[in-house]
Amino acid sequence: MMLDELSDRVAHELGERGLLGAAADGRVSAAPDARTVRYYTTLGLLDRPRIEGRQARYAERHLLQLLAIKALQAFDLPLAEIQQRLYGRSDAELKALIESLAAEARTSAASGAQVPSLRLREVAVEPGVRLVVEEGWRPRDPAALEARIRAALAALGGER
Amino acid sequence: MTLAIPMVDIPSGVTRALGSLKAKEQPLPLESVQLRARVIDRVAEVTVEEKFGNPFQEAIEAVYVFPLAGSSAVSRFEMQIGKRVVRGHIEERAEARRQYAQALDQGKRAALLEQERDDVFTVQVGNVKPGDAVVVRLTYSERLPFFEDGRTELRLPLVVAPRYVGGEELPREQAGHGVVPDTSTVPDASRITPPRLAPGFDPKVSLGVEVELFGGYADLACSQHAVSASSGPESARVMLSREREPLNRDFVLRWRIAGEQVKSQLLVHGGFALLSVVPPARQGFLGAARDVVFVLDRSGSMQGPKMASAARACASLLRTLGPRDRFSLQAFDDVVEWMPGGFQQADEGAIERGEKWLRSVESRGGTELDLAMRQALQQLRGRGESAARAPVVVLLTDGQVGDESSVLKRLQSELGDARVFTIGIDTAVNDGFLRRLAALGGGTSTFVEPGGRLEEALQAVGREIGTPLVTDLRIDGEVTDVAPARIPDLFAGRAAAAFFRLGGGRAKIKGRFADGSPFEQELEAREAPLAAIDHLWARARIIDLEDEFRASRSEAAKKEIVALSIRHTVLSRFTAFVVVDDEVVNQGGTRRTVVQPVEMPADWDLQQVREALKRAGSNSRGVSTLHRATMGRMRSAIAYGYAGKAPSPSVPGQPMEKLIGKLSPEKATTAAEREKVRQALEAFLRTFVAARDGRAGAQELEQARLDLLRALGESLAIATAVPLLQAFLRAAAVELVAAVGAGAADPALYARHARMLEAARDQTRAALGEAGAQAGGFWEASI
Repeated sequence: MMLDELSDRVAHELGERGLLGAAADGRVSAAPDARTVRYYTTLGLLDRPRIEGRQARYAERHLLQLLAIKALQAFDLPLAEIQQRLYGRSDAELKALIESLAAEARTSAASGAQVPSLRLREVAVEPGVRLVVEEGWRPRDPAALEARIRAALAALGGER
Repeated sequence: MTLAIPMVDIPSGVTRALGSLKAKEQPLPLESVQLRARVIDRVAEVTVEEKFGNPFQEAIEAVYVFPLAGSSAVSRFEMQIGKRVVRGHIEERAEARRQYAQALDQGKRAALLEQERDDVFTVQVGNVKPGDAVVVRLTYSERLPFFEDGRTELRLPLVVAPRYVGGEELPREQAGHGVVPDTSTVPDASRITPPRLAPGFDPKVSLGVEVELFGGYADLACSQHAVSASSGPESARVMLSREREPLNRDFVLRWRIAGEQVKSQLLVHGGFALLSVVPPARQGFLGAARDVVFVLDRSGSMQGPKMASAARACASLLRTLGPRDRFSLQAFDDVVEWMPGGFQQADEGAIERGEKWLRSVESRGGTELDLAMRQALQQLRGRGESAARAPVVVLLTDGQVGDESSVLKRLQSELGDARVFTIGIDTAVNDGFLRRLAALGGGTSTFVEPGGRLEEALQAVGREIGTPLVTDLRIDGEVTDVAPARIPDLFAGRAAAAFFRLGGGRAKIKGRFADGSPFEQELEAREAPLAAIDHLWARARIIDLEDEFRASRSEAAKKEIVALSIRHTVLSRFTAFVVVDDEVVNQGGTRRTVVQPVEMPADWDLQQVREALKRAGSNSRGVSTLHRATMGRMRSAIAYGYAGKAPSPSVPGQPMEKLIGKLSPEKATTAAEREKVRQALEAFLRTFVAARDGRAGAQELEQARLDLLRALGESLAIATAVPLLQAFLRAAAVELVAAVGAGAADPALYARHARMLEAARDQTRAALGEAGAQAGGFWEASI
């Protein structure tokens, strides 16, 4: 299938499993564009598409891979953790994972549990140090920020 | 200043919502990498140990694409399971791959080590059982570069950086497991592009580096890692001081050999000699006036601190020019941009203008290094009037390209009397390529890390650019098989080296100073405990032969490389190490293949680089989408090429067999004839693209058409096997040439012809036996 067809199927399958609206603000976009698809390929999360007559063609495995990525995104997982969970998975394992996520989504929907909408972005600064930032945050005063980070590191150092 | 930081728990919801999935993170197969280096007499012997586990439920094959120092001679490979060590052996590459694949099918543990580039290697470890721990261990040696004042450096690369891949996707199975498809300019792109870890993913690979230096040392500095050093009576030991270092940058150790001034030396062991010549100090030496073309890489991979560092390095080299010299400046990505005004006298005003221009350079786009070098050499050839000045190209880059071979080949054919100097700037530089480029270009290569001590590191380089102290070196004595055959010229303060067989106990080295006076040094041989010396000699000889093979595709050179590689147990691109354990552990041989994802090099931005390096053809500017062709895909045969029969790419609408007919050109033609057609076809394809992009005219196109027809005319068997190409050349192409000549060729016309040409090309390549790995192997194009 072609990319737009693949996107439609991803959206459809996610909807079927109650995974589309899992994130409270519905920010998980079901339709991956060509750029996103290339990025997933670079990460080894999506197999390279087959090229036929100059068109990229996708098969069932691509669908499973994308569904798994999107399903985990619906639970607000950052890409690093998604890669960590999906890397090297077989088709059967991907299927099982998607279904268990669907069950999870149904449970939380049934219990009325709100999945918090706060979305975080995380950067590994160096091993052992991660910077977690709320999505939408933009730096205002870099000097003050640097001072605060220094203070935070000092505070952490003092704890040891 | 102290600021109170409120520490709050951030409600992310992740752990709550994913309670049941928390434990399901999947570890990766590579568990640890340990490097141990011993440096004796300016030669390093390095052992690399890679430990693989299997965190999955069934047997796996682990694939790891990793770097080694660019001038390494790999001479040993073994596999360890528990306490049992199985020694690997070296074979012709296709045979090694076959033995490995067979062992896997038989359910045996096996490992394969292949060389993709001077500095890129692939290891595959198959039939690793769940819970297994399999260690592969390889040993290589390397001659370290050093300087008159005793400075030297050891570089242990730890990650293969993303490389720019241009060209068009090839209509055949992929040669490897990487994330970029094989293309016309990088036919093994899929072997040098491992998947990347997403930012923040800790792969939990434990890294150990330990370097032992024998003999006195001073000024030890490790530019990119924190290390601790301890001294013993005879040696010093340097180790990483942190335990969890990511494998995302080269480990670079620099030091000075302590004691007296470093002199030339002649070391022998087992009939082989290593000669290091240090040029004499020449006070007030003023080389010839120079015309220097600075070529600055501003492609997307240079993004960030690297770009600023490269521009600064270029500016600082500019400052070393004297008033007699001239310069011109070029920055390139997938287009080439020149500082206006051509060559300028290097006076204060011009240098200031140059610096200003350099400050405006921003990174973007692909890395069409071949294009940039071609233009730089053209610029030098086009000078005409100033033949008295020494023509020089100085390239500043990270060297992160996949088509090294085409750039090297261009240099071989178009260098003329120019010299090429390379300055490698990166946290994980492509050192093998930049060294080779400089060696072919009769210059030197220097490596610096982005940031701090650039100017200091480049001080000496400015002096040596374009001005060798001693040329025309040769060695007298009972000396045979000198490698490299052309001994590098001597530059001030920098040692040059050569390997050879030595009969007697001494050798005399002769050359010529720049002013014409004779240079002569006589050296007494010293026996040294250098078992590696015959490996290093063989490797140096192989490099010479690879240069020959690249230029001529000579079968004799290829045979000699294989013979040398096997006789001296030194890995090459035509051979591979394979090791098979006899125990059957995976009856039936079913397994999944897991490719180890690797770190992004430090200071690289994955998102930005991804955009910059994005495959040519996927709508980026300046790159053609013409030849994206039918790609067949057979998963079983894909990675190994051992399946024997190559998958045939299909031409839409017609079965391949019908098109080719019963005639098998494989039998009825010689390799030379096929090669001639292949080259003429590639030349025609290039000219077609060039014409379409406005870089070539009707005349060139017609010439390429005639050349291809002539090549076809020499082999009836091929000519009759490629009816689509025949038809295209004799009808459509004639029409196209006329249209180009009349200025009437529009994009629609090119598009129509491109479709016909694609089909014709695929049929021809299939007829030439290029569709699969059987045609000599993808590795030939990488040399």
